[in-house]
Amino acid sequence: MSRLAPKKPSLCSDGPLTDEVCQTLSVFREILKSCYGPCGRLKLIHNNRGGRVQTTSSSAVLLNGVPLSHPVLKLLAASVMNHVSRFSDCGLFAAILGCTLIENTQRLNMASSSVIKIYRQLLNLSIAYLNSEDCSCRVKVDFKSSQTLLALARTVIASKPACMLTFKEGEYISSMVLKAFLRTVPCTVGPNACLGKVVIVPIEGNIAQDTAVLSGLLVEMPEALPLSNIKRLSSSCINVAVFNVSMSGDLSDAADGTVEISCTVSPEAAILEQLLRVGKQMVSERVGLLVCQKVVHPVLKQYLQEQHVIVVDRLGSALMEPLVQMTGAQSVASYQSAIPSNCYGLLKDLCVVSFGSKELLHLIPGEDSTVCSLVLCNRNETTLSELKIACQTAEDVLRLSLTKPFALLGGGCTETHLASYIRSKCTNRIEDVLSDLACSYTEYQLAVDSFCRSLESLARSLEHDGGESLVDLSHGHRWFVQASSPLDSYWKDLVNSCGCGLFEKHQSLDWAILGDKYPSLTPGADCSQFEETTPDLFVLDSFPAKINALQIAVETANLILDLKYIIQDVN
Amino acid sequence: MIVDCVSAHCSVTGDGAKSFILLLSALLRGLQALVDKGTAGQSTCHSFLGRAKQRSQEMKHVTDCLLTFQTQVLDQIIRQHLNQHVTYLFTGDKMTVTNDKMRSIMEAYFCGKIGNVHCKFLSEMACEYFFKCTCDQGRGRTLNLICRHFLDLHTAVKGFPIGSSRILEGLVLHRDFTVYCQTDGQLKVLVVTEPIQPPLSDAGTTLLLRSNFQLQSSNIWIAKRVEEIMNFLQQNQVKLLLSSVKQSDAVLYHAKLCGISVVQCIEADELSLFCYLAGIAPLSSPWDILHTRDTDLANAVFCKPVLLGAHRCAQIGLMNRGDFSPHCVILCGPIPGLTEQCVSAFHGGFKMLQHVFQPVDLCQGQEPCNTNPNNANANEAHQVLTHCSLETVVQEDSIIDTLNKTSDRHDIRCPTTEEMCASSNLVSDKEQGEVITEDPGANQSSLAADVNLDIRNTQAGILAGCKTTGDNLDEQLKQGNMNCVNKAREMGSMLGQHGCAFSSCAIQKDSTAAENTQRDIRGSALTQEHVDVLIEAGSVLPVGGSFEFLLHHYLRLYAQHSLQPEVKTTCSLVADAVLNIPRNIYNTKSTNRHFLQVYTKVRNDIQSKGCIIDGPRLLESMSCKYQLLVSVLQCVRSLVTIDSLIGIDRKTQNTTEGETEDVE
Repeated sequence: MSRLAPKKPSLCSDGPLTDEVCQTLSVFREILKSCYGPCGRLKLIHNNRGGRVQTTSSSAVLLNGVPLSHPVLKLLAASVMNHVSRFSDCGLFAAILGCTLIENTQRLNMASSSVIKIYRQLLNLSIAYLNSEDCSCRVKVDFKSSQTLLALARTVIASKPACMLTFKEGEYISSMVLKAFLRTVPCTVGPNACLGKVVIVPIEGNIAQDTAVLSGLLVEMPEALPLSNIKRLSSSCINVAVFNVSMSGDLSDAADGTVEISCTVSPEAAILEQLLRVGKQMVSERVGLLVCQKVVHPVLKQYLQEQHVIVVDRLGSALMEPLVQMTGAQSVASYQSAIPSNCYGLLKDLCVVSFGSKELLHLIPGEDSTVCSLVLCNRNETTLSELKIACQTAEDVLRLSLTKPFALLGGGCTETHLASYIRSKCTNRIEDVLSDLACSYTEYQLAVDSFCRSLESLARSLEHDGGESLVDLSHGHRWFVQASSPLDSYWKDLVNSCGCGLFEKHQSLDWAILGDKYPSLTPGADCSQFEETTPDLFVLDSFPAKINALQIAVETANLILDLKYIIQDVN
Repeated sequence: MIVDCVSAHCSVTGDGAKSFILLLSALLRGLQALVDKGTAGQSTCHSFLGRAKQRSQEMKHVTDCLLTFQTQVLDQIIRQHLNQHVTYLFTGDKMTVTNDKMRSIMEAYFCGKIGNVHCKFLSEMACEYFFKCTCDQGRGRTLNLICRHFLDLHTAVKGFPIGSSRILEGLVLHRDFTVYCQTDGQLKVLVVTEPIQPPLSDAGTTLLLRSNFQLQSSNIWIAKRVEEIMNFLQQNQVKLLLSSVKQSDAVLYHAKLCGISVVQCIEADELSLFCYLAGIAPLSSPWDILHTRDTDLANAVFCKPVLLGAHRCAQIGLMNRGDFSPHCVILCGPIPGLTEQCVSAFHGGFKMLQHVFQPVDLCQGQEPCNTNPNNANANEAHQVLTHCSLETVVQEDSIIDTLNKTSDRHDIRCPTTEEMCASSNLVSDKEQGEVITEDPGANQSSLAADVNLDIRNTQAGILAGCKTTGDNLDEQLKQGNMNCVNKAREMGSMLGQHGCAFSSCAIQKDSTAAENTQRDIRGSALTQEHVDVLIEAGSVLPVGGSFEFLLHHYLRLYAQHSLQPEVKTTCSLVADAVLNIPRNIYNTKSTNRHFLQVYTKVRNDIQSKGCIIDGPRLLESMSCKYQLLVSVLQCVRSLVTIDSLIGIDRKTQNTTEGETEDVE
């Protein structure tokens, strides 16, 4: 009876957003805020008891690795993780915006139900504006030239400072990522067109400039491969046979009942005979490469190698689909009968490549193949893993831009611009809005102010080195001033260009400090300015990811503000 | 125990958990006050125990009155007075609902469940889903199907805002395609439940291998057989294979060669819903595949993968089955908890609608009786009109099979039945433990004594029923109601997921049945016009406590005019308790001011004009409210009869003999 403990009653706490929870929230927000942006600081996650040490500034790793104590934080983290699992970008944005909204709302002394309704209306207003035709912080992705796509890739790669890349290396890697992505888009779009795949092969120890994009797949070198085999094959088209069953001669899952074997029978020999028969068929049909997802029997392997057939086994299921897509082979699932002739695939060439200390077999497909490998190099394991995450995020962002060919201006400019738009929209002609929401004018203004301040503080949090963020009073973009500037100079002498790179300073611009009260402006830059400036210096963010992040942040903040009780099961 | 009552009630009506607790607490408080006042006045016993015993006796006395209260007072009030204030949801004869009426009732429901941020969006989506599933006709018959299979008809997606929820055509299987070959247009589908590849030896048998050649040829035969099967399927234009188990690699390989898409490891419930909607049965054994005919294959309109959140699922379009056009609803939410809440709110909304579409019959019994859900065969010779009425009984006793037979009648009106479903039950008296049989002499041409019954035993669930007593019959006669009806109440027991099997038999009794003063239940067919229902199908009232205000007003009136003191006390007790619900609705900033304003206005309206004017626009179901009140009354009675609680450390065994009895 001592093993049984009485069940503890659940902990019930009323009004969860107490002072100490707000304290925890602000600590959480500070952690995330300090990682935000290309100048962000890194975080080292380690457990005293051992285990992997991670250095990161990306939200996926942070939120996964850091255990959270309070249910409110867990709710916010779960919401952000779900967003990241689909869109892979703007996770930090969503988390910081959610925290800031909650904190700012706590400082207002209003009933949370009316604040939630107002936030919801403001969210709808923002989404409508961002989706409308005349939104000035939206850039159309031009697929005729690579500049906007390159800007998108560069922004993502540069926003992860844990990769420790210099400016030139960052440029180079983003161009490689873009090249790999463009390779996956098929040249001719038939009825069954689909995007190819980029397989990332991480190589540790080299400098980042060694990163390369190779068409086709890179597989582990099979051991004891006679080089003469490869030289023999290099000249012509190579037939490939792909098997996805185990060719090691085991009968593991073939029978439901029992199989009784009399002493004259040896099942391994029987199966080996069948395997060798298949091998002979492959040799007679001049197959140059046999790829198996699982293990190949060593006798079969040796026989095939003597017959100058290259055998690659233990490929793993991850590479099977790109291999099938690349060679056009059908993966065969039985060696009992003869392989039908339409199951063979084609490869153009085979060669051995070496990166650093690793040697890999390079399978080179025909011209139009949409499968490519991105060999990522970086100096050590930490920076390499962070770079891998950044490259995967960049590829996802580029893919998302295929569905919605727009990008939002980065560098804090979209947030500042949106805040100034909302402020200007909500000052006048809002009687019908007020009657819809059933709140007073003051309440509405307070809530609008809180919402806009959250957006502005998000833009301000890109600055980590003690500088200052300014907003210009004609377009509503964010400008930054370095910390070491002399105190008595004018703003216009200190700034150069805005955060996203769209605007350079010119005479008619005027600035105010971001976060202070500034005179309301009607932001509406003429879009004709866009063609003049060179877009490859832009900083661009992914449109669908940011919109979803904005929605998720506001909805989760609304949900948390609406909580009245928390009931925790402590068993 | 209270939690059990509440969840039982919620699984019937889909709503009202919070109102249940409010009403229950108000009733118990009122009871406590009543009893305290009673014993304080006449404490003949000075010892503590004696006073407690007296108090419990008083309580029991009052709760006994509560039981008769329901049949004698509540039903009368509802029938005579409250029915004048209701509006009807349906237009025309055929029980169809228009869009705006549906929207007003769903919006009221979702406001109470989700909060006013998303309620408009979700209520519009619920209406849209209802109309899409019923092919824009708005009938109530498809509601059974929706409620029963809601688990398979919805998909919950995390990581998106709630506003991205939408409705998809066809059925969404919650698995991805293992092999996908693109097809356009109509296709045939085969459903299997066992692996197609024959194993080397079946389970429980032994294969004796005597030579290597035997092993090789067995393997070759297996491979050839799989190839033959898949080629056969290809020739019969089967383009999709649905399997509830994992198929072997060889099957997938040949399927890819033949251009057949495969979905594996589908849950049994989903597969059975698919088979039901497509009108086929799954193939029982793979040996039969080569002998399949066209009737064993389903016809699908399209099949394609769909990306929901971070997962890919298979979407299969099916043709309409009867009135039901298959559609699936995709509910999104930023976190799984919120998504689950939306899902259960959606499900509850449809359960509530199902409840609204049924009328509630008059119940005149006192003791609960247990019935069994029955479904008679539809192709019986004699059709009986069915009505459905529900009432929940708190005690979860075992189900006793009941059979109902028809009996003779004198001036029975010849039925002109219209509805199709037929059922009958035999109600057995639980307390007496005997099965009541009827006079077998049936001289009615319209009814057959040999009503075929399919008695379907269900698991223990909610039981409901009531019985007629001879006293009530006399009272009925005394009150001189025209259609003196004496109905046996048979219920389908409802389990949350399995929906409700509606069956009840309406019985008509005429005035010469005064000699039947024993506990007889007779069944007969009835015409539709002569059936006396308590609450018509589709009765709705405005939200915001109209039901409670009206009931309070009429109960007070009744208490004034009534002569018996017990009836007076119970009426005033219940009247005060029901006001607790609107008090909490209008509770802003913990003051009663708004509630008192509304209350005074409503009272003045009723007294001066006889109806509530300027009420809220949204509607709620009256049968749900009535059901709630009845459930709470029964819960109170069972709570009050508990005398002592005996706590035990170990788990009670599941057999009935081992249970400890703590009801006095």
